[in-house]
Amino acid sequence: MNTHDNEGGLDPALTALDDRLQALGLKDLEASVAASWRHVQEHVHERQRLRPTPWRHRFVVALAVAAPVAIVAAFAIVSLGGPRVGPNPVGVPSGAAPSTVPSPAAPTQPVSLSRLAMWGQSGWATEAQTGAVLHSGDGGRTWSPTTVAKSDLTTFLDAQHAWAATYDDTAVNSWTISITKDGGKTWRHGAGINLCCAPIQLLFSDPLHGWALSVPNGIDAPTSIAFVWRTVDGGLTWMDVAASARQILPLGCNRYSMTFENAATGWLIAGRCPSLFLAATHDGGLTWHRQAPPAALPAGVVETWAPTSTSGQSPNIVVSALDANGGPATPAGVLVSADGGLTWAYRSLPEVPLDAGKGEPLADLGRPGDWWFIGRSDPAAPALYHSVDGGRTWVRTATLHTKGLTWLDATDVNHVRIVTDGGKLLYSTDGGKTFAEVDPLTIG
Amino acid sequence: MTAPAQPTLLLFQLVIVMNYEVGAIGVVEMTADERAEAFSRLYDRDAPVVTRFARAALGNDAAAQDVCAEVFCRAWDAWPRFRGDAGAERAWIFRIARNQVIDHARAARRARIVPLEDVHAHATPEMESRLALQAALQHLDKSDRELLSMRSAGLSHAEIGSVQRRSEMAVKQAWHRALKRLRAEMVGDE
Repeated sequence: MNTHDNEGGLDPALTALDDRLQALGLKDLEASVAASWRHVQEHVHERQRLRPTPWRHRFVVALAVAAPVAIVAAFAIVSLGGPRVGPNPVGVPSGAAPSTVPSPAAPTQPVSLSRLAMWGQSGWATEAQTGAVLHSGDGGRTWSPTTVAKSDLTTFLDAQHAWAATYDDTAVNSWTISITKDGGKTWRHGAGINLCCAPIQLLFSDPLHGWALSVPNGIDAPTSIAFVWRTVDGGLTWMDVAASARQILPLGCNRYSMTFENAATGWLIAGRCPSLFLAATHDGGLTWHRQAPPAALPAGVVETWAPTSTSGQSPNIVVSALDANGGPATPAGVLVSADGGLTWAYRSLPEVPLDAGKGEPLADLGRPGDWWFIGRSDPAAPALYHSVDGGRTWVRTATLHTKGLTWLDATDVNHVRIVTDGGKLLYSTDGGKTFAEVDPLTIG
Repeated sequence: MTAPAQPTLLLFQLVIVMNYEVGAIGVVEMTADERAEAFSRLYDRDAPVVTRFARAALGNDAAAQDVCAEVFCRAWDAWPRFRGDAGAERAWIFRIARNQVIDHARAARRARIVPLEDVHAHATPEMESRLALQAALQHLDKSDRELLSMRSAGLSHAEIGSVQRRSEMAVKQAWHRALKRLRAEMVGDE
């Protein structure tokens, strides 16, 4: 668009410069505007959901809604129960009906989930294929897409704060991190990070302090190299803090994970080593000090997984032995600390957790006195275990006759959600005894 | 001295008040839909312009996208209270956009965000030219940059005047001076 309105006598060079100015912001404009519109739609949707109904219309609305709802509800009870696991199926709580967007009407469609993190009825998920970040306010039945349509790694601190990283190994700044602190309504972009390698972990102890971990790709990549980055401004800028860690990392390790209980204190764990490597920091990762592994650790090389979220407590680190093929094997257990992470003890698990070895194991050990994991001994019927005494004793709460489970998320001793490899949700409100299958939908 | 009110007049006034109230209920209902439709039209018309403004002002496409979203989220919240004709809408939107751009610029200064394109190793000549222009814009003072960014978004001098509450002639003179300073920046860089 050229708007040279009444500029008689203007220097041609200035006119040309004005033309260049007016052509400046046109690149990919349509896509950017469309992405912004998705933010705005979410915002409008949220505002409309929170808006009280005018009293004048309540009576009419009640009349208009009551009859069809009664019919639909009766129909649903009779014929739409859907496949369930165990008796006495339960659904999402009442009052969790999807909210509506005024205009245009919000279309809904099925969505396949992968990662999941809920706080009460609100929380996050990522779409299975693209890693698109989704937000729910109704317990996970409906999901609003955010403008982060693709991600390679995500971390969720609570229902409002989330970070999503994308990785492009052809770019100078291979990592790009998107940050939200308002439940995904708006996102900011941190400065690009120039890392050599794919991200394997991104975690935050609070809205400001976070860490990123990456390691070389491929099984032939040199070991003993881990890249640890730290941010103190919520992910906008990052600094490399791995120098101290690299000085003490032993040769031969290639399975790294990291966990922090607060902005200062954290641990770096490496498995698949001649012996388990454990190091602690008390200055946010600037310096690391090697710790002795627990004496009772099973012999042999171990696989390790440190939790991304610790609820401000010392982390509980899942470990297992390796079988002849290098996969996780019995025995499996948890490293626990009773003295703030100075020393560690090994506590065995009744089974190896599902997905151990492929990625993060299906275990949620983040809340004291409320531990969950899914065992993998019978792939056709994995078992859900619950412990209320820090893993000393375990109760097998249910057998999940569902092939392929990809994620476990518990919000308290009663509410547990499991993601199937089809991207659906299994939801329990009775401590994991019975589950209802929920078909998640996207709105908008 | 006011003449005493006659019963017929009072009844007429009462009818007017009742009609207003009844009409207001209907308008509120209709306006909810109309408001959403009008807002959608407003977005279609002005979001590209706001994005171009923010891109020029901030020199960062991703930040501009955030700004555009934030501007229209705020606009939606204030939309029911908006008073003005269609011509005033764009000036109103741009006043919100100015504030958002200022907020983002402050935050970016604190965070020292480096636009990814600035460090792209394989820039085409066209991209180089665009980056040079963006870089020169960032070296101007705030008022020049804002004025030229609005111009970059395609706003006429009269529209910029509406946003900045200045006369069209004053905008034109300021724009001329700002263009010269921009050219000087670019020549200086070369």
